[in-house]
Amino acid sequence: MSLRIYAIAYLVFLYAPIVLLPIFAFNDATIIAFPLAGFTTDWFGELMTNRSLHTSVKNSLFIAVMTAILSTLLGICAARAGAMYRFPVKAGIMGFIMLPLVLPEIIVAVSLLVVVVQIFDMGLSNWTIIAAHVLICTPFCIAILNGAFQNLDPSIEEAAMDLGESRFSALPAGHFALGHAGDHFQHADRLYHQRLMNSSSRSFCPAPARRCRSISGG
Amino acid sequence: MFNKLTSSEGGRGLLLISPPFFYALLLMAFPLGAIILFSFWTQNFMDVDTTFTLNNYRQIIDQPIYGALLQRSLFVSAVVTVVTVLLAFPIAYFVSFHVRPDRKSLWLFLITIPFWTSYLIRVFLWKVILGYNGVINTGLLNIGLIDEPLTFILYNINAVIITLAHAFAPFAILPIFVALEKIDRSLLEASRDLGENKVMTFFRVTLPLAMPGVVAAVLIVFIPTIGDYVTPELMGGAGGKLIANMIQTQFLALNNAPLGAALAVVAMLSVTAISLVFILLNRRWLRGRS
Repeated sequence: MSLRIYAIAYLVFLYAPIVLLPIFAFNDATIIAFPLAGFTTDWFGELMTNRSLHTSVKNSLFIAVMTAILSTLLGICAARAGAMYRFPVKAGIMGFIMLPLVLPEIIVAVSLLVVVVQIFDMGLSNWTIIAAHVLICTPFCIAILNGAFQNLDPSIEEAAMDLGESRFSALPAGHFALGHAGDHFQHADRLYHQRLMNSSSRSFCPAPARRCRSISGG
Repeated sequence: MFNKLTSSEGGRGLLLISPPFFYALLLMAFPLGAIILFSFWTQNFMDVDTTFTLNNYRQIIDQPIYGALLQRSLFVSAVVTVVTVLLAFPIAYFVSFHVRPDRKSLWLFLITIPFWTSYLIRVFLWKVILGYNGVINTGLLNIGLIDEPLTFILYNINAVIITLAHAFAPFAILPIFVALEKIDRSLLEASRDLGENKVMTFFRVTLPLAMPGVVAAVLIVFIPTIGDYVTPELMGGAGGKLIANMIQTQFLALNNAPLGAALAVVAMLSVTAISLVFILLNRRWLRGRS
């Protein structure tokens, strides 16, 4: 019972900052502080007229969409290879691809900065941001897709090929029906818990794939 | 060539893994190599002098500020890790052992939802909670517990630790939860049947079996917190800056990429060394369970 009280207190701690967000969206003051000044919807009107805000939102959306597409594609390659095939130095290669998960971000950031600016002498742009995000997001995608792919019986793909599908088209036929849970969550966000679950199970405690799936809510 | 590659299982696997592998090689291994190389060079006003030198490292050792910053960063990361994992363990335990199986995913969902909002926004909102006119101060003033606002909770190390402990909560909860879920419940019954009480069963059966999850949680919180510079930048004030801020300053404001590179290398080596020692210390919990 005391554990339940602790759990609820902990949820309050987790949600405290999030709950404040909508409160200040309707607060009639330019500084974010208590006591509250009064109710207003002016800030939402300002959203419509602020030009630089619109550009920023467009940039963010563009970066997010491109990053999601590219890292999902790379993630599908890696997760499928990891789940379906045995190949030389597999553990080493998979570990290498998952490494951005644990590298401190400042180090990834400055090393990419050095390469882009000092070595290739290129300017920074949305595409350099996308390139860096894809590097960091691909391991997330792999972790999430792993759960779905590992549940899959390779014989389903063989059956699809026996029935006349090519190796490539057997992939959507067989996988994307069953791999749906992983896919779906992948698009929702960089689902932190998925990353953790699978990455930790990878190095320390391989959880049964079924369990990872059930955790993903699929 | 292509046919030969696709005819064997190993070949097909390698072919499929090559795009993400080469991406990581190009955008991670190559830049990391470049950073190490840079750390042995010097910045000469606008150009980089590429003669090999250990001057950057000598400077890091000689000037006390770098050592102090690194020490403070390691200390903050260690405290954040301990706080986060200690707070997270009971939650993971509660969800794994006391929640009905069909409610477990709901609880995990509840735990992860707050982390779908932007990291930056969460940091800003912690400022609102901890600030001079913030939630905590106004609340305590209104109740009458304090006469003037508390100032030790924002723009110092405490604020950085609180914010980071919040930001990394799910990173600690989920690996521990996975490890707890894998524990065969009949082992606990066996322990009770053999005469151990609840507390001893926890310490002699549950906790040792959950250790791989705890170790994973510690590493996954400790390593990235060293590299976090947004939180100390916004919450740390003048006295709460960490090594990551110094690395960023060297690269951008001070335009001394080689010294920044050397600092990054030193920070990376310290984190790796501490993590390896930690894994070695805990190897008896990890053995035979991989």
